[in-house]
Amino acid sequence: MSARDEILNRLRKPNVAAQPVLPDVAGWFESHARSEDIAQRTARLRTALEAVHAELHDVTHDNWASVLLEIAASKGMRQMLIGTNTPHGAELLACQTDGLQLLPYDKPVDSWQDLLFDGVDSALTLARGAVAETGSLILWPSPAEPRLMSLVPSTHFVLLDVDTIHTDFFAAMTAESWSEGMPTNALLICGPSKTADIQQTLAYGAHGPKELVVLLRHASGSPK
Amino acid sequence: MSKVVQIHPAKDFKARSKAVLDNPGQRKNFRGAMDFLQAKRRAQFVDQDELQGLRELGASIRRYSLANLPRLLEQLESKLTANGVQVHWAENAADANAIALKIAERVNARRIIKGKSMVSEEVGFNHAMEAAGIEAFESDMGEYIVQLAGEAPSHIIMPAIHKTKQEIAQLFADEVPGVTYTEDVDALIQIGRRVLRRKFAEADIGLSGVNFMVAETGTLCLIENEGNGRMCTTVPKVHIAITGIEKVVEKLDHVPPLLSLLTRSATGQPVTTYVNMISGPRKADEKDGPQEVHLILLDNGRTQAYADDELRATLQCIRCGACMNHCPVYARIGGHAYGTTYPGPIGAIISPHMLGLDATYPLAFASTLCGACNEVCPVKIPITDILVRLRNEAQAKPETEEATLRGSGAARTVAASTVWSMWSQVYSKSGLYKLASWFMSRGRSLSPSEQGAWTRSRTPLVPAPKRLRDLMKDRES
Repeated sequence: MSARDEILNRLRKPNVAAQPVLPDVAGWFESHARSEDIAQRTARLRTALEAVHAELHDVTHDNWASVLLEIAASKGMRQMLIGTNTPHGAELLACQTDGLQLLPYDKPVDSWQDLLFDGVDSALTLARGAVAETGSLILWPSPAEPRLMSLVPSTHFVLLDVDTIHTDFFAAMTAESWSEGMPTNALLICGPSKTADIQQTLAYGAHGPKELVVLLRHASGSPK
Repeated sequence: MSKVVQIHPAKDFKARSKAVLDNPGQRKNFRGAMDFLQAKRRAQFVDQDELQGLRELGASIRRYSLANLPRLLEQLESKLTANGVQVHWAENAADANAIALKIAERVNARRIIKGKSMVSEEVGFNHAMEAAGIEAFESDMGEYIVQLAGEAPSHIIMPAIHKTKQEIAQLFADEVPGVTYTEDVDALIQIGRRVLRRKFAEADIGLSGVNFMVAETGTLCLIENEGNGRMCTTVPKVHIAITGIEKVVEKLDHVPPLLSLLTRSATGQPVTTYVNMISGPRKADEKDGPQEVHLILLDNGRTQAYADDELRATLQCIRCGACMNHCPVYARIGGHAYGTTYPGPIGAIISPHMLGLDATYPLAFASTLCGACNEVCPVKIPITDILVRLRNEAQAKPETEEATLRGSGAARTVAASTVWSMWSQVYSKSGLYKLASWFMSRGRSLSPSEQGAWTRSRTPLVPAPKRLRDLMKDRES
């Protein structure tokens, strides 16, 4: 008999008499989740993200690209990885980007991995949403914006529309029916990479980005 | 077949504990680290009602998952397979390593980069790979440090918790080419970052553990702060995840409560920097991610715990480490003294199933039964009840109904079992009790002055000159 069958047979043997009922997760969140409007959720997200050294900027649909380019210039960024065929990527490509080279992630990583690891200092991705409770940005990497964009470059810029901020993780996954189909990779990101493995001393920039810059995009004409 | 290093903590647990107790520097490290982690956790759970409600919910999710374990594992396997993930089952450590080696051979792998995985420690993965001429390199900063020092992790969440930054500074200066001595933690982390970046890019296989597996969607959830876990599961062409069979939950919405309990209990964080949910290998139109994803499901004694109604709760564990952070014994002797992959209270109750009770029973006795572990356990494992049960199992008569585990009865001695059977006779028969207590009170001057561990720091026990029944008689007359 295979290891699989042996293990499953052993697990079926004990008479686990009282089959517990399915835990009421929804009930718990119904009675414990905060009821907040977008402004309150945005404020809580901001507090949580700032606590882990993320940098936040308020932008609108009209000015986000110019704000991003200003920040990138002030940080001395030379390259920025962008997605392919994304509306925000196209908007950025239409801008004058003196001194900043925009690199579309347009081919499989295998052929240019060394350049990605050593020659790209920033990347811009769109967040699918966010979780106010913990300050987590939700990213579903895709063929247009692959996984390594949010991991390898030292500075990660994230564009987040404030109306996609959910109260908590449970609210996010139920509102978007995640259980009906998960992508290859789904991520929650809260701040730049960090570690406290040396004598419990917190240090940022462990293996992933050293900086996380979040552009909070409000409906035009109503920043904050 | 790979060779697994067999650990027998029973042999020299006391000697190792004593060595740590005699080392004030190391005791200070542990005390400081435990105080730090306790304070961090406390700050996360200011609302006691919320904490207790969430613990109850977390415990009910884990109990439900275990009650349905065979069904959930089959569902998980079929979902993962449909998603393109290859699922393997391993009875024990040797099987798990053999499965990994077979994959490594097929893809001609020379280098494996590892994310943090306690199960890989449990199976002696690095030794098995090295024996086959394959480099297995740790990428979690703490694990990298202990690997560089040729040691094992001393804590399941913070592997290098026993080391000071001075020791790490010296280690880097000695072992990493081109590095000069620095105690600046940021600089030390940047050294690690630089070394490991090359390793991620060059590795043929990435190995990781798993925090939760979701049956309904076929998803592997991994949490971490450093980004090395994401590197290991994204950059190399092959990703192998290894975990215990107990880590499965049924629904995706079972993850948020457990995740919240895990990070807040472990390191006092509302959430980790990364929550990485993997549901398959790279698809045809995707530009990165591994081309193959494998999951190795390991038993290694877990089904023994599962078979017992009381011990099954051991498998509720979500590996937060809060029990060790709050354990007065762990805080004093640290992780290495236990001699097992999993130290502390959870180590004492899970290790007997992996290594046999004969090899591990002293760990069950290394507890004051104060119950701090029960109080902080986010999934309400009755740890002290299980410790007492294991103590009884260690004294059980082999090959009888009372001995149910591999290695039961290992602590049983003729002298002790004779004393206990006499005690049981005396205390269950009133005539015998009367007689025995008469002799005890009259012969009290014959009490031995050496009474084993008791008299090492206490005065000897001597029976009272008069029995209770004599005192009552005096009062009545």
